[in-house]
Amino acid sequence: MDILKKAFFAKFGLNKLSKDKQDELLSGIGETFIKRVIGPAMVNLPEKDRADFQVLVEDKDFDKVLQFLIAKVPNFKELAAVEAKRLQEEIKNATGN
Amino acid sequence: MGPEKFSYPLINPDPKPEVGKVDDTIKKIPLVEAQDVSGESEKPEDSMPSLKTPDSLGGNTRETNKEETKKTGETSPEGEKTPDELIAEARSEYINNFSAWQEFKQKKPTKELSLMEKTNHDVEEDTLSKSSADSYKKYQETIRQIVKVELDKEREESMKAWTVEQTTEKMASKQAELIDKYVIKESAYLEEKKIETWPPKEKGWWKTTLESYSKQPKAVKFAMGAVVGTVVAVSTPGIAVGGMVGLGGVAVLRLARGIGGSLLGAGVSKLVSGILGRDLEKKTKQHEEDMLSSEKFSKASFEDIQKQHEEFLLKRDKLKTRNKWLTIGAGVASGAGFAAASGALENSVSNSLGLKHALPKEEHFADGRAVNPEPKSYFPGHSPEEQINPDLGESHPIPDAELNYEPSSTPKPEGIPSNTESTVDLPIEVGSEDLAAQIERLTVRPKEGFWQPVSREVEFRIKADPEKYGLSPESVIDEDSPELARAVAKETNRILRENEVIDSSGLEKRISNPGEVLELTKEGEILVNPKAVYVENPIEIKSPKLVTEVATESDNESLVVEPRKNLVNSVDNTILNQPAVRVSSLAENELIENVDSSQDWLTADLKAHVELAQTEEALNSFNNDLDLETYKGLPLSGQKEFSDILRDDNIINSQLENYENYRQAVEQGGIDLPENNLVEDLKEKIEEMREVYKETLNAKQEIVSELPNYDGKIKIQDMLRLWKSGESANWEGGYGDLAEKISEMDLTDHDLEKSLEEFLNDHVTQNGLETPVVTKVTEIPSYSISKISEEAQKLIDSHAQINATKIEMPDYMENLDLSLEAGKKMSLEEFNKNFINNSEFNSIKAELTEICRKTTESIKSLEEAGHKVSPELKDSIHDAIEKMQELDNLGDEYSEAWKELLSDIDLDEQSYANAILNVKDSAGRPLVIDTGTVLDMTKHYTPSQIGKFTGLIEKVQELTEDLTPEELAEVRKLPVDQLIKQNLKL
Repeated sequence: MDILKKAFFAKFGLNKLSKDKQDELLSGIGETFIKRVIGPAMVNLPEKDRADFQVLVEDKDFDKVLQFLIAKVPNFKELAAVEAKRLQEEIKNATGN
Repeated sequence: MGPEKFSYPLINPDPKPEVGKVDDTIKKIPLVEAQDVSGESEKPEDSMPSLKTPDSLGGNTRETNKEETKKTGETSPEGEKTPDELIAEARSEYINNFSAWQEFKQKKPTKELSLMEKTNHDVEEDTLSKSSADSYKKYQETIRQIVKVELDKEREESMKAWTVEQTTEKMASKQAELIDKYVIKESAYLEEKKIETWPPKEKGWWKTTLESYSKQPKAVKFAMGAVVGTVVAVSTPGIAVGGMVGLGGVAVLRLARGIGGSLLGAGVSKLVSGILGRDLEKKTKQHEEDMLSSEKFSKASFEDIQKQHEEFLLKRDKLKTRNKWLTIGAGVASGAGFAAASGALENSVSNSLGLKHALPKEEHFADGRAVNPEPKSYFPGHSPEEQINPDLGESHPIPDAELNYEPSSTPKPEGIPSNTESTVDLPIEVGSEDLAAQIERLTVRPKEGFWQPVSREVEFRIKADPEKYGLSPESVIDEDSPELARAVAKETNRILRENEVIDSSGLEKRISNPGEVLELTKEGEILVNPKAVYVENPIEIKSPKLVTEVATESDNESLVVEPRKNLVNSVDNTILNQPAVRVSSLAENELIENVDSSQDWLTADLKAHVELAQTEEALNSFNNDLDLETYKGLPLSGQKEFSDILRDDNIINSQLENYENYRQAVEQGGIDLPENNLVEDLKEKIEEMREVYKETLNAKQEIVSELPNYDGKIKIQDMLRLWKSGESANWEGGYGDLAEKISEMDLTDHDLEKSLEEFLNDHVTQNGLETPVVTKVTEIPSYSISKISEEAQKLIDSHAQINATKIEMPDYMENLDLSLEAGKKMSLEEFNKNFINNSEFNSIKAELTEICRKTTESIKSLEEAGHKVSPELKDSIHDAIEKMQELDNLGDEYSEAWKELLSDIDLDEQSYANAILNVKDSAGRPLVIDTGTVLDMTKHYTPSQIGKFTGLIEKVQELTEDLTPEELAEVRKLPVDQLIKQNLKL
């Protein structure tokens, strides 16, 4: 995981940031991603699955949340891919790269 | 004081940012109110979503927005906009266009559209979609422009006051701040606005979910964000797929792979090409090799070199201008005399370029800032204060016009005196170009010893004042003048001896470093840095050794100073490992003057660039291969390739060093390199690759060593065989998707069985199954992967059949019910026509029969495998089968009814017309009788007839009293044989 993060931050010229700041930034980016992708995807969940989803969110295991969405939401990966790309472009934009 | 106005380059072509205050102001202006200021945005009270973004998600509050709006609005002069206002405008436009598009999409036409209307509708939607996309681009472009200005300013400010390392850190910190502001917070606001366009029900659901999320402790949210952020990180182009090994979450891995695959393209295609022979990579590699081959390289790169060269010239001019004021500024600040100024200049330029390495050790504040970033002289007893010497000559005030920035605006660290009003007195020509030129003359260039810079300076001095050296002015006009050469050699020899650079026999005994600048004493004497390293065994130098002798010779050519190849070669590695200290001077040398000679240097470094690109390609390729090998489960493959790539770390390190020097030098010249992080990237990649390889290798070895028995190893071999079968021609016809899925398994989790089980279960999930196909792989008698896959495929097919049946059955059942209902009301003739003899109906019935058969088998198969099948589905199949049988039997029922009636009729008795009619009626008698049917029948039959058939005599009597005798008589006219024939067609 650390390798990935290092690669990611190096990619955007942010490898000189302290680890804490990197983590904070990554978390913020993740939250943005959640709002952009997972939020809308959740809305597309069938009604019957929503309660289950709620439970998963409250269980605090986001890997399971993702598994659930991948399984239940059609084209979730595609949606995530589009938004990830867009987010990356925006990060690139905001870092002057 | 009002908020700082930050001139936006596209709006105000003459920006004059007030240094040091802009950023703070910008930071204080939230996004929302700026949008209000634009006058185009929605009214906050009306348009802000009822759902407020939680602070944790970076949202802004309305209260703050309103307050900030007021501030901004009060102080923004007409025609000048703050960055936030500019962004707000672009953002607002985007939101409006996006909302319009979404609203349009949600409005469904209430009627069926004509072709023209539909065309217009589609055109309008396309237009709105395009507007939305265009305004998003504009919005991002606005951010990009503003970010650029902010970063440039930050960089400029940082470089003035901080070391390279500190500047880099500050820039990273600034970038992080910009991401937070322009990505995270902007996105939070935009998402809120987008959600406004959702239907109320979905909006409510979102709100509920978001509240669940926001209730989580901060640490949990942080962790969640980090997990998801990793998905974004992993899927970023350029980050090796191989790096995914070691990811914690299964879903993260899967999603990241999915996203990475679709984004990178190359990642997946490389895997595929890896399977199929990696043609693409081979071609790429071949292309790179072609580029590097001597003929093609020089030809192909010529234009690039030319282009770089042209850019180089432009940037050099730019640098010259910048150095001019930097030089003068440095001189003014230090008040140095000539000798001191020349030393200070070099340092000043270094400082301005962010290179502190050339300076003696500095004192620092606690926060890392240099106490005195002003240049210090190398010369003993020449501190900046001491360097002010009004007796040295004419003062040279600096024209304001040459200062292309406002010195007063430059924040200076505490304790640094402002000397901007000082002047400098220089003993000789003081043009900044002259100073820079002197520095350049005194700088040791690559592959030079001390001889060359000393002789350059000596030659310059002799030419400037030949009589001082016993020469006539005429004798130095000709560059090839033997007198001049002799004088230069003699003087150079003297200086080098005095500085102990050469010994009495002429052997050089101290090592020079490219980029090193020779110092001058107060009197202007040339000094060799006392720190210069002494070699233990003096190296013989071809020409310099003969300097003394040469100085008396008349052969001019012998005076040409040969580069000390032997010595240089012997210290090449040392040079490579030198700190970047020389880079500044190197850049100065190459960028200020001597552009022609830089051509070779550029060419060489361009080659280095290509070599690096090759290395990078090799690393990426290897990473992908490693990924592939990981899938394969091969324990040791890839090792050779790995060792090949890294067989000589020194080569890679040399490449990195060379490129790093090149990059820094060019950057100092103001040339923007497209990939200025290439070296860092490569270093990271190498490290990453080493770690990934190590990790992978360990994992594979563990898999093998931990497998409890031979069967386990067989599994791996089977998997390998399976994988290899994919490379054969029958890949498509082989295990197909299953094998591909298996290939995606992450074997590095050290648990092969778990992986298989997980895979199978996932595969089941993906196929919409409700229960795991295989609960435990180990329960399968053989570990053979082919059997596992066969078994799994069979069960998967069964589940797929059931799922299909579930979907299709309701339609079939509905049709069956309708058919039965209709059939029971039909005459036999109609029934035969519509069902028994209807090919379409028979085809449908055959389909349903087949579905029922397959489903029944699937149910059986699954139940045998210990899986539960929903009772509803089983009932549904049973019901369908029964109804089809009933439909099939309907005709038989008619026949039976007819036969029963017929048995009671004496066909020889014509008088039994009524009986014949009964026959007819029996064929047309509905199996279910209701009032409507009876009413209809009474038009043709007597009440008694109907009553007899139906057993409802009384009721029929009532209902058929109005049946006329004529009607009855008409019916009776029908010939009996015809009636019989007609009804006996069955």
